Amino acid sequence: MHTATTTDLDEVRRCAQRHALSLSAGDRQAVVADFLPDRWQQILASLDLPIPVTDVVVTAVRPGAGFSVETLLRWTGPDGGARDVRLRWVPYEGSWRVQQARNLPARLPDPVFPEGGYPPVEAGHWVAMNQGELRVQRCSACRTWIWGPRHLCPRCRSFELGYAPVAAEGLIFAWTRTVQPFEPSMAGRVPFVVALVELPQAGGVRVAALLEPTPDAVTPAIGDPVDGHFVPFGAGDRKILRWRLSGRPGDADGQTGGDHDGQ
Amino acid sequence: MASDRERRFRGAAAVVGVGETELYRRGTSPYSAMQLAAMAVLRACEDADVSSTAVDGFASYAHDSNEGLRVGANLGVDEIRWSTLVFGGGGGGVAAAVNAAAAAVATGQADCVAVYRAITQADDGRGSYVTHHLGPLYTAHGLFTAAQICALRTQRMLELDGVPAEAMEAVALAGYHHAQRNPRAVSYGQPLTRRTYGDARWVSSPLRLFDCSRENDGAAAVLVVPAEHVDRYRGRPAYILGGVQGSGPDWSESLENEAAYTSAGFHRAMVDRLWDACGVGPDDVDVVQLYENFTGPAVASMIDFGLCEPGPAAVRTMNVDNLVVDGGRLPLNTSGGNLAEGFVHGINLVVEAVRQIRGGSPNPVAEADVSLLIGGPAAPLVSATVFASAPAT
Repeated sequence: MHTATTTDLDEVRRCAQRHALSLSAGDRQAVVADFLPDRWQQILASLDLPIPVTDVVVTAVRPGAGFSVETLLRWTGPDGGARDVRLRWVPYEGSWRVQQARNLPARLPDPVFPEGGYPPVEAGHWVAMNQGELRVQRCSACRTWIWGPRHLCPRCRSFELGYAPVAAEGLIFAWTRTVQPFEPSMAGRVPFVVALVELPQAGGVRVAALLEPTPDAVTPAIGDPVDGHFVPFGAGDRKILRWRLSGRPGDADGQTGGDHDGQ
Repeated sequence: MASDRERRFRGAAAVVGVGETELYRRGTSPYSAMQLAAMAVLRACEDADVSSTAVDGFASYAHDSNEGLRVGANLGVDEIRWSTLVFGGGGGGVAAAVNAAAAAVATGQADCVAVYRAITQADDGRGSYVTHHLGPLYTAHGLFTAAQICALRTQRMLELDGVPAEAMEAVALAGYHHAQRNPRAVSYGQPLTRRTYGDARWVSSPLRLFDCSRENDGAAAVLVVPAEHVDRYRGRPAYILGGVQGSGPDWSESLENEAAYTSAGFHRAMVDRLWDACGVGPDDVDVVQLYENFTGPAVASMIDFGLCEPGPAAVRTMNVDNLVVDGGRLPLNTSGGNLAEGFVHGINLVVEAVRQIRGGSPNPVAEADVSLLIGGPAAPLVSATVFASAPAT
């Protein structure tokens, strides 16, 4: 496996220092020119940075995966608040360009609810969720597990539906690693993995949620066992389900570069 | 076997005019969505050589914000006899709108129905194609877009069904190849190489940039008339042999609990019904306009229709050499498709499916007699239409 040479590290250190100066000077054109031309917009939109920036310094330079070199930059804003950003530089047309940038420590997106919250038919699910419990719709008459929520039982046509507790344990049915920051609230919180998880204890219904640990270094597989836990958000009085790969320690520091080819 | 009713419907309606507006980068149309809708209808009337005042029916799909009655009022038509909007978001309704119009004219409810779709970002916002479909059970968990939903389904199709990712690449490369002969296409003059495709940035794995359709401002329309009237209009008619729309079993609005999760939603009974109704089979299809919101579900559609082998053998059909008009056995998305021509919720695919019969395609398939339109894979509703050079085959 290829690793960066001392010359590579020196070159990238110079690139990163120049980049930091451009940032501090607010030279947008020079900043953008340091990114791979086909993804500078995606990279900029994916970062959570102080605005305006008062100072940027290079705090580390080290070999990354494959041919890449990683640099750490510390951004400081007017209030003294700092953000650490990891840049991955790759060789490009005789020099180096940033292929990927990540806020550190890695964080996952906060839940977003549409205006007006949730539809009444989902209330039993969300009320339980805020108390740290997974509840899924179940027909009171024929006991069929139902997901997504319905207004009557599609199996026996009963109108008596409830929400029954179910152990937050299951198997990954499908997953995706999202890199594009589709929403402004995703700045500083990409990439993330969403796992669709089949619950054997609830008739095999599938429930989607974010997957931990944070995804730069982890590639899940369909069939992997997961368990759920409930993370506070907002003012701290609400909770949201997150899936966690069973048997893998919660590696949330995101300090190591992954092998995901620019993801 | 086709029922008597299906046989009566076979070839009972035809498309006699197509119209398209320019495709604008999203958010840049100088015209409103309503103006674009009207412009597309006017151009379709010009193509058919008929006065726009004679249009007496309007059909659209997917929450089009330009209600048929208002389009008619803006056009100043003589009379509106019939209008409808297909239920269900997403591009799954595109062929369903054509089928509905065909049913209306075949049963004498209208004589000349415009099937249209118009979108501008100024009028419809971003992501108008998923309006009303992604509630908090999605957004609370980071799922905001159709791209991510289709990525989940595609991941399982690749990882579990063993469909090679090269099948997805072939959809993108074929569209871009064809778009190079289509000056209207957004990617005209920007050919896509295998390397550029593979090096592109990730959107949501396993989908990279060129697996995803863009959004454009624009509109298109086709005119559907009864078969016995085709001589009143200019040009060669594209007969509607038959069509299907539907959902299920255990498919629609199921919060990723759809039974056949890696399918595009065209279940076996629906596909069999289409072939029976039309009196043709997958081997008779000369050219396909395949709705590719994303390449993965597009491949799933081809598998659903029996146009392509399932699993690892999918690449026997889904390889770029086989999908281009220059020597391929099954030319696909011959104007560039959603990916390379531009995306107005799939309505341009209808126009191109018709042009393969009627003439005017940028990449005509020689002697095309059967032209298949496949709408909106992996959407709550899916639909398809078969166009043909003759009312019965």
